[in-house]
Amino acid sequence: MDIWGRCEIHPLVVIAIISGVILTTTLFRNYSETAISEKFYNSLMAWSLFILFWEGTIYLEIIKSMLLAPPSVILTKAFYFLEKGYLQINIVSTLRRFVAGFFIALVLAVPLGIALGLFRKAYEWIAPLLDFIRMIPPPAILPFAIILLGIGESPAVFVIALGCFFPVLLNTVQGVREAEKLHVEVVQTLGGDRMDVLRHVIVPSALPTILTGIRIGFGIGWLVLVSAEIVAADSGLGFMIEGARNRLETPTVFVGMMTVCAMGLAMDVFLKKIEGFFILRRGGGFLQLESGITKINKKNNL
Amino acid sequence: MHGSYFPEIVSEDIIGSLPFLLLLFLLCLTLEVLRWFFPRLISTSFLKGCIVAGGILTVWETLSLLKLLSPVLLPPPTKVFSNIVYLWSIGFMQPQIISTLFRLLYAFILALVSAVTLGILVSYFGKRFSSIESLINAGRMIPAPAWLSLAILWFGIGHASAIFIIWLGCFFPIFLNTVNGVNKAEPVQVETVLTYGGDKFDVLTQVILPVSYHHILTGARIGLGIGWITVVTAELASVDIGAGLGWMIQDSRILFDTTTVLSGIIVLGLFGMMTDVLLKKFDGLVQGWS
Repeated sequence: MDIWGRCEIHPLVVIAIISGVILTTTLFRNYSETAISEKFYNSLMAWSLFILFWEGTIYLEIIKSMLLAPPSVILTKAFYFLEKGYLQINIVSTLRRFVAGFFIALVLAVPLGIALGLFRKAYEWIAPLLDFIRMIPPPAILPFAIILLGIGESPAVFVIALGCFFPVLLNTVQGVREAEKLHVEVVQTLGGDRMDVLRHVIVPSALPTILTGIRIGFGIGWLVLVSAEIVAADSGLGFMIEGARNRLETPTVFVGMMTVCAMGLAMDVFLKKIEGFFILRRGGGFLQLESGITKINKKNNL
Repeated sequence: MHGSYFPEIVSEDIIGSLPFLLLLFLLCLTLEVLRWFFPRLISTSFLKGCIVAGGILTVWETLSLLKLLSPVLLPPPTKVFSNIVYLWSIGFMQPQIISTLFRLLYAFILALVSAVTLGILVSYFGKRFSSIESLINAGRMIPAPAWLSLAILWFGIGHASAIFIIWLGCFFPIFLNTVNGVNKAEPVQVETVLTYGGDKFDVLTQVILPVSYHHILTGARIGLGIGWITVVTAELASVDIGAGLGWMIQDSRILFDTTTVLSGIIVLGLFGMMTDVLLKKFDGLVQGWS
């Protein structure tokens, strides 16, 4: 790592590497068509041309480097920060904040959503109020949260939790409501009590909708996280971006933005995988019900 | 510096606690009575919302009256209400609302036009689009507030940089929903129009727009929500000193004026709800089109 910290990447190196990638893949493709799929080749070309264009315009001084940092400088800066541990510290503190807020939101929203989905009357009463609170942008609550909770981690965590809360809640309510009445009645006929209905019908059938809600909530929470860190934080990627802007360090701004982008992308893919896994396993709700019925029969010694 | 922008807070309570509670009770009663006579005018959900909100306000006010809540940290509703009326009466609230709404709506309309146009174009040239899909996905994952720093570098402090990031925030949901909606158009429908001698423009107006209309509106509602978050963030980070509800909230937070903070939050919530309801109404209004 020591070498990376000190050496600077020359713009021409980036241009040469990217051109090399384009040439090799094209040649390779001409040699054997099946080795690289069409889609992968196309998106690789798009990325390479994008980076080439970006680096080239700044190298030729068409755009001032103060306004738009070239990839070579961004990479140099990123390696420097990695070596010094500055980037890791910010990533860890961002992640900690986000995970705390996200989990608080999940723990509160899912049980509350199931309860509100089951008791329709109660939901009808508080739905207008929820609609009002939902429409207040979470960052607007941030100053109020700072007054109430003091300066530190807690206001940011609170606001992130608030941002994640409503998508998860509303999707859970919707998912619970869409549970099949017939399945509920089947379980009741077989002598299952309320817990059995909840465990074998309602939760499995609401799960995909809840997971969609979690993914939407993640998107909103990620947005709110960055805005909370820009406005009020003393660490984290948003703070890094804002601080770099104040010092007019455009490359650092880009390093921060790209780290946020990569982390968001990774988490989005991860959540999508989980969603896909559960939807596949659920098998249309019926398989789950069948195994539930077996369990109830066993419990009743049938 | 605050003094020159911020008015001196000399607001007195324009309404006492007990009259306020009485007024709340009367309001709910009036709504209930009105619903007896005009059941269509006032929906049940609106009445229920009013009653629940009235209950919460009553508890809040009573707790403040009993000195159980600190008036500095959580001022009573009467004070917040008086403050909103006061700030409105001295003409301080209106410019903030106008500048926030101006930024949001300017960027939103810009995003709507550009995203729908690009979305339709992209689905027309579908094959070539797939190669830049990953690029767009990566761009989408950078939250709009993260662009704020670059926007200020590029456009300076003021309306322009706020509008730029709000546009970015609104753009992607509308764009992706438009592409999704246009792809929902059945080839059979398109071919029918073509068989009857329609040209590409007819396909656009007769098939593609009606089919994708609801998807575009869904995207617009998501985009507007993100737009609200982004506009408030931009103002909290002082993209423009002295204008915007977000700036008002942040500045009064620094002055430890919780009443104005709460006033700003409530006004934001009301306007947010209003824009959302308007878009929903728009959905119902043009439903006959498809």
